[in-house]
Amino acid sequence: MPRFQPGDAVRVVDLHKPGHVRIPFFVRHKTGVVERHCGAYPNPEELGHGRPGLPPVDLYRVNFRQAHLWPDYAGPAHDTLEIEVYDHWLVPA
Amino acid sequence: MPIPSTVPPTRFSADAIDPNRPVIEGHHGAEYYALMTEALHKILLEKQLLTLADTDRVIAALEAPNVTWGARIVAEAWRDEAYAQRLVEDGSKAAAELGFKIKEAKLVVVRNTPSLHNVIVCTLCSCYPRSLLGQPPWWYISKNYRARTVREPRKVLAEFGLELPAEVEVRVHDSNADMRYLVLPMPPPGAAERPVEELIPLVTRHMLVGTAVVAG
Amino acid sequence: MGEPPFRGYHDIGGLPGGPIQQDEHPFADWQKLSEAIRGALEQKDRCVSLDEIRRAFESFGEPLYETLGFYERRAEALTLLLDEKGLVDRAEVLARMDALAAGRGQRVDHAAKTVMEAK
Repeated sequence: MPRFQPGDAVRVVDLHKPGHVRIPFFVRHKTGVVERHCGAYPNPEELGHGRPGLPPVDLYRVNFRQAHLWPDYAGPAHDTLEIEVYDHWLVPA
Repeated sequence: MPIPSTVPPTRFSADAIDPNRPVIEGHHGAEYYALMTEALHKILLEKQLLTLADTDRVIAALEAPNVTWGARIVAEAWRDEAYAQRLVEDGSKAAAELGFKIKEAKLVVVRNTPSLHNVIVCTLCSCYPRSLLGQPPWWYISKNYRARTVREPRKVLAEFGLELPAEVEVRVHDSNADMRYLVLPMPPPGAAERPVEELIPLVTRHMLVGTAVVAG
Repeated sequence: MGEPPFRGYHDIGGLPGGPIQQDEHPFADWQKLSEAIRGALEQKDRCVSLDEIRRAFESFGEPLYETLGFYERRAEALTLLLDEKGLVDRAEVLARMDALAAGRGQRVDHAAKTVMEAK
């Protein structure tokens, strides 16, 4: 059972993890809304070092307001961005 | 410009980037890495880690996919609303209905509407549905596209000739992990009554990434 | 918190940039071969994964990342990774490059990442 459901508010944490990670800097510490649960996948942070990355990690697509990601965002307030975030990078918001 | 020597892949940089420093679009080394690839291939063959048939088979698989495969899917969705809905529900499954197997990841299809425009980018590398569309274009893998599209999408789209009114939501998809993305553009008038063969040539690669819309 | 945030030099989303070059370039034969070597090794023995290739070019140094194009970065990462895994000696690859070039009246500058006519 995935920890989050579509519509849940979540915040991306910064794990201060060196090495191969797939969560870009620009979404860390940002709050968004879960769009969907994508399934569970081997952890790329382990795969990058030749390890199997199991058990698989839940992956979510999270929707963010652009104006929240970029304080100087030039477009309208309804513009958004979606990105995939692994479960261990998320906390409830 | 002095070219740095290679360091072993053991160190990681913390907070390596000055957030105000523009990206640097290097294109150096094609001839050098062509030679390295040739040398590496010969050594792998000699060591019997690979056979010629192994690489020939993968090259054939790299060469086969192309934009018309994605266009075929779009044309089907334009003609058949039930198919369009299945496509948005589960892109990989709906693509497989037409015989297209998305090998590298799960396909997510994002649908443009009169009030929503989708555009795809991969900021960390250059993820792209290669097993459906083939290799991404030069501009898609450029650092300028990767860096700017998430922050100033409307400016980037305008550079591609696409000016969107403020009423339309622009939604950027950063293809950063296990999904690959395809945009379902809005159809031209009367698409549902036109044959697939007539619709396929209307769909361009730019439309499938979201940097263009159907003319008219 | 206290610790510095970790951000790799490849994590460029949101950085300022210039105009996007829209000219088309063909998928060159060497680029196909390089991608095919990686793909074939992955399929055959699962000994090279895409995440490992990414990890290799995310850690081979920022100056090199800035200098090289997309396929060049991946080709460099592939050789580094195979060397790291003990499958291929990188020095052997460089020596073979020299030998191949010499047979064509060329020489290789490994520091500058160039191939030129031998004098």
